[in-house]
Amino acid sequence: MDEAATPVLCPAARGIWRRWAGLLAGLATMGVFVFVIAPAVQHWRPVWAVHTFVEERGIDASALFYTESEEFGRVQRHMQDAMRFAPQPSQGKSHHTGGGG
Amino acid sequence: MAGNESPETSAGAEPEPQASESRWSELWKKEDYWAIWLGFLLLVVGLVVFLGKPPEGMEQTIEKANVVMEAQSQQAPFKTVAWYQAHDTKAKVKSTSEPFAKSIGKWISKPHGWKTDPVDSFYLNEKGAQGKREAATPKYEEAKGKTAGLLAEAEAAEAAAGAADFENEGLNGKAVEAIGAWRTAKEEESAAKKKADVKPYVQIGYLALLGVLLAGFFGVGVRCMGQPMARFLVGFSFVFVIAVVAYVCAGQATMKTYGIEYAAWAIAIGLLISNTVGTPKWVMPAVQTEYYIKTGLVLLGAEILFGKILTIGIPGIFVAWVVTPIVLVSTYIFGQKVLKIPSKTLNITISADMSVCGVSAAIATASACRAKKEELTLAVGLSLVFTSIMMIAMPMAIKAMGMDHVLGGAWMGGTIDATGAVAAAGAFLSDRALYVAATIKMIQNVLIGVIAFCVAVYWCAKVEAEPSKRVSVMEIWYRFPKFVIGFIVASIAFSVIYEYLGSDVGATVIDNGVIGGFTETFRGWFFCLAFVSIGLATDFRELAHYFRGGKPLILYVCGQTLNLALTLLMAYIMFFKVFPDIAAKI
Repeated sequence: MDEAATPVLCPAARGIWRRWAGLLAGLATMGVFVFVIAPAVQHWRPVWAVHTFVEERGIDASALFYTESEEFGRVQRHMQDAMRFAPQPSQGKSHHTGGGG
Repeated sequence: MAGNESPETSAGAEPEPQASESRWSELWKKEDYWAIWLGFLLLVVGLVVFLGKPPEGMEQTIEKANVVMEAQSQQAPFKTVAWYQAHDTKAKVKSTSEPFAKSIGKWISKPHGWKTDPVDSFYLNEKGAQGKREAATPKYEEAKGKTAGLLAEAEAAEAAAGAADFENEGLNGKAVEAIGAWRTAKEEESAAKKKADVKPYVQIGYLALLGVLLAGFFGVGVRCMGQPMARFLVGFSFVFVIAVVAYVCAGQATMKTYGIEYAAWAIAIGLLISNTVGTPKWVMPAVQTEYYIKTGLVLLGAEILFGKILTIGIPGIFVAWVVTPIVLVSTYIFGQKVLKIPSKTLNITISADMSVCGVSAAIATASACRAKKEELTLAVGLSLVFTSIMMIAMPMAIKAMGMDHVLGGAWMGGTIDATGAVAAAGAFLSDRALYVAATIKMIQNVLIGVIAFCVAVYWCAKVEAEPSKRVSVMEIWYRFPKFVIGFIVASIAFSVIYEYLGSDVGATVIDNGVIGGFTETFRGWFFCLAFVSIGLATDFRELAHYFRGGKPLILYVCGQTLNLALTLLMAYIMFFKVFPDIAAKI
C-alpha cells in the first residue's frame, strides 16, 4: 500500500484524539463500574444481604453528615424520648425496656 | 485545595497579611469573610422562614404526646405500644412537611434517585410514576397487613403482661419481643410506603434556576474580591453541570447502597476531565474550591449542635469524645514519628478522616490546616474504600461473634468513617444497634467543630511558626483561617437557639426545618461544587506522588486498628460495666 495515500494525523491532532479517547474510556469505565461490576459484586452473599436490606429500607448509605440521613433523624428522636421517658424498672420486672431487635 | 493554584500552594493559599497590612477592607475582599457573610445570609434567611412559620398545633401535639409517654413510662417497665404511638405522633410533626417547605425543597433539591434510567433523575411523567406506584403497591399492602397483625400481637402480649401487673418477667419479655417485631415491621412498612407514593416531577427547570441563583450568589463575592464576574459566571455553568452529574451518579440505587457519595463522583469526574481533555481555560475562573468549601463549612457549623452530645449520656461522650481525640492524636504522632510522612497536613487530614467521621471531618480539618487539594482527595478515596468494606464486614463479624447489639452498635458508630454507612450497618444488625451506632456517630459528628478549631490554632501557633520563636496572640489571629470563626459562631448560635427552643421544638423547626429543609441542601451543593473544582484542578501524577510508598494507606490501617480496639474496649466498659442502666433504656 502506498504510504503517501494513508491519511496521517499530525502530532497535535493525534494528541487531541488521544485525549478524547481517554475521556471516553474513562466514562465507559465508570459505566462498567456502575452497571456491571458493582451489581455483580452485590451478588456475593455477604454483600447481597446487606445491600438488599439497605435498598429495601431506603437507607442512604452515602450520607456525608448526620443531618443528611433520615435514619439519624428517627434515631435522634427515639433516643431523646427513650432517655427522657424511660420506663422505670422495678424489682421482679423485666429490665429490658424494648426498642426492637 | 484551591482550584486555580499550583499544586505546591496550599488550600488556604492566600498571601498571609502582616499585622500592619491588615485592613478593614479584608472584610469584603477576602474569601474567608465572604464565606462567612454568604453562609450567615442563608442561615438567617432559614431561621426567619422556618421559625416564623412553625407547624400548626405543634406545641399541643408535642405536649399531648409527652404526657402519654410520661404516663406509660410509669405504668410498665418497658416501652408500651401507646408509648411508641405517642412517640410516632410527635415525630410526624416537622416543619419540612409544611407546604411552603415542600415548595422550597423543590427549588433547591438535588437530582432524584434512579435505578436503570438516569433520566429519572430529572423527569418522571404521570405514566412512569403510576408504573412505579403499581409495582411497589403490592409490597406496601403486604407490609401494611403484616404490621397490623404484629400490632395486634403486641397489644395482646402487652395486655397479658399488664394482667400480671407487669410482675411476670416471662410475660414482660414476650411483650418486649412482640413490640420489637411490630416496630421492625413498621419501619419496613414505612419504607415500602415511600416507594408506593411516587409522584411525577420535572426537576430540570428547577436545577437550571438553582444554577443561575448560585452563580449570582457566589458571583457577588467574586466581583467584590476584584475578579471579573462575567468570566466567573460563564465558568460556573460548567462547574455546576458537573456537580449535577456527580449527584446523578451518586443517586443511582446501587451506588447509594455502596455508600459512594457525591464527593467521590465529583472528584472522579473532575479528575477525568482535567487529566484527559483538560479543564477548559474559560472554566478556571469558576474553579474556586476554597470559596465553595468555606461557605459550605460555615453552613455545616449550624449542623453541629453541642446539646446532642448528651443524647446517650456519659457513655456516648466517652466512646465518641474521649476515644476519638486519643486515636486522632496517636495516629498523627505515629505518622510523624514512625512513618515519617513528609506532609503534616496530609497526616492530620487522614487521621481526622479515619478517626472522626470520614469526608466531612476531612473537609473541615483540611481547610483548617490549609491542606493541599491532592491530600484531601487522597483522604476521601481512602475513606470511601474502607467504609465500603467495613459497612459489610462489621455487622457480619458482630453477628458471627454473637456480640450484644448495643456494644456492636457503639463499636460500629465509633469506627465506621462515613455517617450514612453507619446507619446502613446499624440498621442491618438491629434497631437497637442502629440507635446506639447512629447516636455515637452523631456525637462524633459534633466533634468536628472542636477538632477544626484546635487544628487551626495548632497550625497557626506551632506548625506554621518558625521553630524556637514564640508566636504572639496577634500573629495567631492574623494567620488564623477566619472562616473557622464563622463556622464556630454558627455552631454556638444554633446550639443556643436549639437549647432555648427545647429538644422537641428544636427537632421540629431546626433539625426538620432550617437545617433539614434549607441549609443542609445548600451545604451539599457547595461541597459538591468544591469537589468538582478539586477534580478539575488536580493533576493525577501529583496524586500518585502523595501516595508514594503507600504510607497514607499504612497510616490509615494502623490508625483504624487502634480505633477498633480502643472503641470496643471503651464501649464495653461504659455500656456494660459503668453504666449498664443506659444500655437497658435503649
